[in-house]
Amino acid sequence: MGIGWGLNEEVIKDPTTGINLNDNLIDYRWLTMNDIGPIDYHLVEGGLGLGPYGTSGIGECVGASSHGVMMNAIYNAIGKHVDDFPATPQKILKALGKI
Amino acid sequence: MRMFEHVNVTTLDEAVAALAKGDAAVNAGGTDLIGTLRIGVLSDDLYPKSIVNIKSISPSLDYIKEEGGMLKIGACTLLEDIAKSSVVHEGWTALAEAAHKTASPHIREMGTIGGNICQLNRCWYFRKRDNWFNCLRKGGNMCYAMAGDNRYHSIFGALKACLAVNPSDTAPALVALGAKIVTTARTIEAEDFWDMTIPGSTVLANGEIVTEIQVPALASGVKSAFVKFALRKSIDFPVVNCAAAIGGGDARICLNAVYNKPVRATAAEEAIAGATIDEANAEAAGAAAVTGNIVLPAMGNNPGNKWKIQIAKGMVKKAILACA
Repeated sequence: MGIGWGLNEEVIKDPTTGINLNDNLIDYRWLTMNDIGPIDYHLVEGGLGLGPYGTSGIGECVGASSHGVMMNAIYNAIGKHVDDFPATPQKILKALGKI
Repeated sequence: MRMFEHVNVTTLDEAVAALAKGDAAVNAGGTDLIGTLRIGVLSDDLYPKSIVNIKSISPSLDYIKEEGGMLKIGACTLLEDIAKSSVVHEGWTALAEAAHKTASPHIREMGTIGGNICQLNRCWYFRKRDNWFNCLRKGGNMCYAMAGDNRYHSIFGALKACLAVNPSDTAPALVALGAKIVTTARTIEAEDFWDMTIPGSTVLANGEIVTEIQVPALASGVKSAFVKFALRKSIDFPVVNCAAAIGGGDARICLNAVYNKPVRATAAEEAIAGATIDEANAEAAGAAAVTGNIVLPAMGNNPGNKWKIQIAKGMVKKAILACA
């Protein structure tokens, strides 16, 4: 989910009519399992959450952080910041001054 | 989806007769056709009244054979069978790689090579559901991509005022390998097979069906390769793809998804033919391949398609280096 936000997922509208142009899963490029590498996870049980016995929800945390992490990875790779989501090839080429 | 008649034909003559009036569509794998019909891409006039199933033709059009050095592939051969065929892989590497990189495993197990080369063009205005944009390709009078979001559209300008791209992965491989397309009426050079028609993407007439694809043996020392740039690995149409067959002082390079039909990169061919294949020469050939491009400018949220030129350059370079 986070990787998709970082790299591909974007609603594209026709500038003249405002009609959504990519309302299908071919043009709205939702990543599938084959596009994502193996995931290694570690749960840190701090016991400091606000719920009973110090529990806290973990469902969407990765969604909030991974696209930011991906931007750092892009900076690490090319030495330029891409400051707009999703970091499409077009934006990366622009950051590199190629277009 | 509307009502249509479904016809199972058993001979090619029956199929030709059923298609002669021009109000029927051919169905083999159906991976492009059924989706197109289901979401209502086509206008009322173009919506087929009957679907002609050619999988029931006997003898079957599903075969891969090598005769006198020439590869012959039946139109109904599954893409997966071509991708897995050791004969194709050894002799015509670019074609096997192209078939392998098409769509997803499920679609390759359904889709045929005949369907892959005859699929309708890709453009989100053309393909919008319920015929929302009645564009040129459907008998309308304008190309909505001209003033719209055209980030994935043609970088070599419009063909008959249409900016859509041909999305086939096997098409550039067939052009680079010098294939011929055999239909029920004639034999066409792969290079001349595609055109902008309403709503089709090929030069096929009404009642004409692709029956076989013939690929000549490559001269000794010629290597072929296919590369594809897409935004997803699992399933995606190409942003740009490129096939090359280089060796023996000769080169054939073909780009696709950059124009209404596959484009021979003749300037790149001249640059690399006979030259040593190295990083610098490949880079120069890549730059030569995109000369004559026409950039669709960025406007508002539309980034334009200038970025595709860089991708095309890179694809030509990669394809050339893969032939080393």
